[in-house]
Amino acid sequence: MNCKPAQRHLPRDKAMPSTRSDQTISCATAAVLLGLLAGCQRPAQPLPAPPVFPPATVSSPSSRIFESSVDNAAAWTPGQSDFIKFSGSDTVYFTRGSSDIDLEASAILDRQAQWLVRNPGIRATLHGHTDERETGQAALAIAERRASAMRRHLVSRGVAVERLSVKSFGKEQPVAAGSTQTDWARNRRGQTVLLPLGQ
Amino acid sequence: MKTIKPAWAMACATFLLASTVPAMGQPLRVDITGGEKKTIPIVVPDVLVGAAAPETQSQDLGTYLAAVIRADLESTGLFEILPAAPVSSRVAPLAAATYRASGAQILVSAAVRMNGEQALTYECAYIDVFSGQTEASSTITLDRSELRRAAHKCADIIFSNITGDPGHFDTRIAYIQREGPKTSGKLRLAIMDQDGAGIRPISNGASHVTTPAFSQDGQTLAYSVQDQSGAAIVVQSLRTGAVKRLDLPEGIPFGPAFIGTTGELLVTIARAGNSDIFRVDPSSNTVRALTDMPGTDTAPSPSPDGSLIIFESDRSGTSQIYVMNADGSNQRRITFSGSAYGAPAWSPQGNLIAFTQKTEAAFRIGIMRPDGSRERLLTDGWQDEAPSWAPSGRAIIFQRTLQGDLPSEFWTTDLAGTVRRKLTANRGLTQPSWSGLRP
Repeated sequence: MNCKPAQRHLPRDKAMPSTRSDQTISCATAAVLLGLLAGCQRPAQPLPAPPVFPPATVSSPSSRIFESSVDNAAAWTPGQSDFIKFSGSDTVYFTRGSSDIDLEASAILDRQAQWLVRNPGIRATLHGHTDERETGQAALAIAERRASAMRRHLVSRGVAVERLSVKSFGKEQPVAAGSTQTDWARNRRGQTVLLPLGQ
Repeated sequence: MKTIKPAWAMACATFLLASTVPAMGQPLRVDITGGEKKTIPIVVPDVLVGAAAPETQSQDLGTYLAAVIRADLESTGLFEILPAAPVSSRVAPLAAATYRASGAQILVSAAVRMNGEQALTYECAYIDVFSGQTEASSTITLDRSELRRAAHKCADIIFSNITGDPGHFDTRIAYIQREGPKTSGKLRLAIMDQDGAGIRPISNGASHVTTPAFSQDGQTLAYSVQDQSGAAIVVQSLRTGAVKRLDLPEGIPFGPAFIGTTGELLVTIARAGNSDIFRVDPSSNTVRALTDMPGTDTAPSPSPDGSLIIFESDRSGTSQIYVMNADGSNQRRITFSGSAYGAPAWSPQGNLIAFTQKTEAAFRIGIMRPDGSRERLLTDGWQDEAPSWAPSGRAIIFQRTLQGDLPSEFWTTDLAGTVRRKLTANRGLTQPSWSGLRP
């Protein structure tokens, strides 16, 4: 019988068991009880596919920075983690071939704009990306369109346009290497990257 | 129902048979544009010189170079390479009579001679085995650091004398090498010989480089870079090492394309969500917009005579191929099949364009006439894209992406859609640009 740890059935925001021994005991108990039933239960249900628009996570700021463009890899901006915490995410997502800012992206960009307005000394670069299912130059164009759409939105919410620059990486900097719909959805993104003070 | 009398059938068959056997001693004509391809039996014996070079790893120079010629010719699919015993260079130039029994129609006599410390001389001759005539010959002299080029130049001589088109062997490919996993983001501009040898990195992997283009003579590179100084098109001389960042209107420029040998370039600039094609003259610093429609106009490719430009535009709602005059006037759509199209590339002969057909199921390379007619798909991968023509106009290199976390590859195809060769020198290869013949 394949006993998966219990926490995988819980929504992400629930507390997780902290020790391996807890998991082992609860697993053993379950095994005894269920073993008495005719027809052993099948292993845990397969997980549902991850949501197309991943919920905001507060990952370690340095890993976010290293995930972004190569030339920002070494930059550690003090505000980035605070920015992500406040905004919910530094990344918004798009549908295939589109640069439309949907409701979820709009809500995140609104929060980003509020943070930027409250922290006037900081500049940011908007990084546009596409999935692999575009040809190279079309991808560069679409990615720029996405970054520009984000900039337009932030400017409309009060951020001075001179604080925002745009970069296009086309399809050359994926975060997901596979070729599933989920991988593609994760790659169709625009990331707001704060620049170190003084830049 | 009429029945065919056996006598008539025999006569018919004999007549047809006789008309397909080439007359002895006549130059061979090869038709690869239709019907069944027949290969030409050819022999390229190793002409041993009794010396090796550091690159050949103690293999005789003659053996090493003959192998390069054979691989070049074999890659075209036009030749059947027959085996032959190595011979000493004392015997060169080789005699046709020796090879009549082998069934070869063409003998390549290629003998290398060291010319002092630095240079080597390659005596290359194309000999018709039936007549014993030397149809073409050339003495190729190069610095010994470029010894593979001697073999490539010899293969070009053979190829062009047989087909009437220039060869494509003494050429290079510029490309972007993805280093490590797809998600590493490390991209390096590099060049290599068209057979995958001689890989040479050009950029250091620190900045984001894309869309390289080789000039016709293979001496200059243009590419897009985004780094600390911003986004730019860089023009770099491989001969002198000189590097120039072009002075362009605001926006993100990419996808440079050289216009013949004028030194002018076509460039896409993306700005505020709109991409347009510009014509740039670096020597006079003049820039002229050729398109100005809202939406994406990109991937320009000029005709060989520079009078027309094909490009990709989404102005109709989907990516399609358009043609316009060199000054941007008279823009008209040429693809109407219902699928989406992009990445057009004009062939060096001027009579065909290559493209990427994009559907939900697959991206495939195809060719069509410059007016959009006679469309033919040449490849059948899951994602084949970014076609670039060999200067012979008889081969196309493209990028093949595999599903999943696998590095992309370069493949070449001929115009019959027979995928001839995967370049195995490296993987993670993207965005190829095939140079013209090197002088």
